[in-house]
Amino acid sequence: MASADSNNNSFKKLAEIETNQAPQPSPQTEKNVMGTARNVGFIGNVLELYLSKALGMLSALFGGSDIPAEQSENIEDLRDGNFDNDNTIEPGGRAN
Amino acid sequence: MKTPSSFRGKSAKSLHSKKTDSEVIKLYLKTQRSDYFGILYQRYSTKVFSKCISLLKDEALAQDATQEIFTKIFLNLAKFSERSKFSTWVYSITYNFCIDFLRKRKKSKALFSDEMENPPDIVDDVPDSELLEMEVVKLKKVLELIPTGDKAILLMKYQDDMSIREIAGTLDKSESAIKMKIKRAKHKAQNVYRDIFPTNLN
Repeated sequence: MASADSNNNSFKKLAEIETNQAPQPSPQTEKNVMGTARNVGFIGNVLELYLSKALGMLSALFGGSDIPAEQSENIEDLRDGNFDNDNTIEPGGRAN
Repeated sequence: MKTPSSFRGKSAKSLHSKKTDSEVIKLYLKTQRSDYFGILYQRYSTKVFSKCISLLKDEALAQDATQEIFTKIFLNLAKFSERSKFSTWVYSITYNFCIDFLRKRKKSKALFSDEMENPPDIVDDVPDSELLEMEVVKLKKVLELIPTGDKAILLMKYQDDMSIREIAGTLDKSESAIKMKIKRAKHKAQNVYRDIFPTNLN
C-alpha cells in the first residue's frame, strides 16, 4: 500500500535519492522569496497603519466627513441646536 | 535536514528549529516575522525544487517555479486550514503549479494517459506491489517515460501518501476521475516497464 514505509516502497526510496542528489535552489531564489516575504509584510503594516487615514482624507476631499458617524451626528445636533440626546443626569450627578 | 549558510534569521531558526510546521506557521501569522517563513523555506525548498526538476526536467525552469511556488505558499499561508499536513499542502501546490505550467506550454500534448485521443480500455487493475517493489533505477526510468501527468499522480499517491480526496482537490477533479487516472497511470507504467525491460517479465 502507499503508506508502506520506505523499505517496501520504491517511490519513497527514489524520493530520498533524488532529494539527496538534487542541487539546492540557488541563493538568489531564496533571496527573492524572502525579499517578497519582507516586502509584503512591510506593505501590509503600512496599509494597516495608514489606509484608514488615507480613506478619511479621500472621503473629506469628496465632500464627506472624516469624522466617525456618531461624532458627526452629535456635531449636526449641536449645529441644529438640538441638545436633547440620551445623556440624562442620574441622581449621583453622572451622565449616562 | 540541509540548512544553507545563507539563512538570515539564525536566532529564530535556532530557537524554533524543533517546532512543528503548524507551530511555526502560527508564530509567523502572529508576528509577521519573515524569519519564521524562512524556517519553512529551509524545511521544504530542497524537496520542492527536487520535485520541480523531476516534473519540468529543466533546472532553470525549476528555479523559477520554486520561487513562484514559495511566493504562492507565502501569500496563502493564512488560508492553510490544517485539514491536511503542511507538507501535503506544499506538495499539492507544487504539483498543481508544474502541471499548469506544462499544460500552458504543451498545448497540444496530453499530460495524462486518459486525455489521449484513444485511451486504451483497461480491464484489470495493476497491483500496487508491482510498482512499489520495482527496482528504484527501473522505476525512475519508467517514470521518465510515462506522460508527466501520470508521473505526477503516481508520485502524489505513492511517494507523498496523498489521499484520493487530496489529489482530487489538487487537480480539481472528482474522486472517481482521479481513481480512473491512477488506474490508467499504473497501466501505462506497467506497459512501459514491459517494453523497456522485457526480460524481467514473470
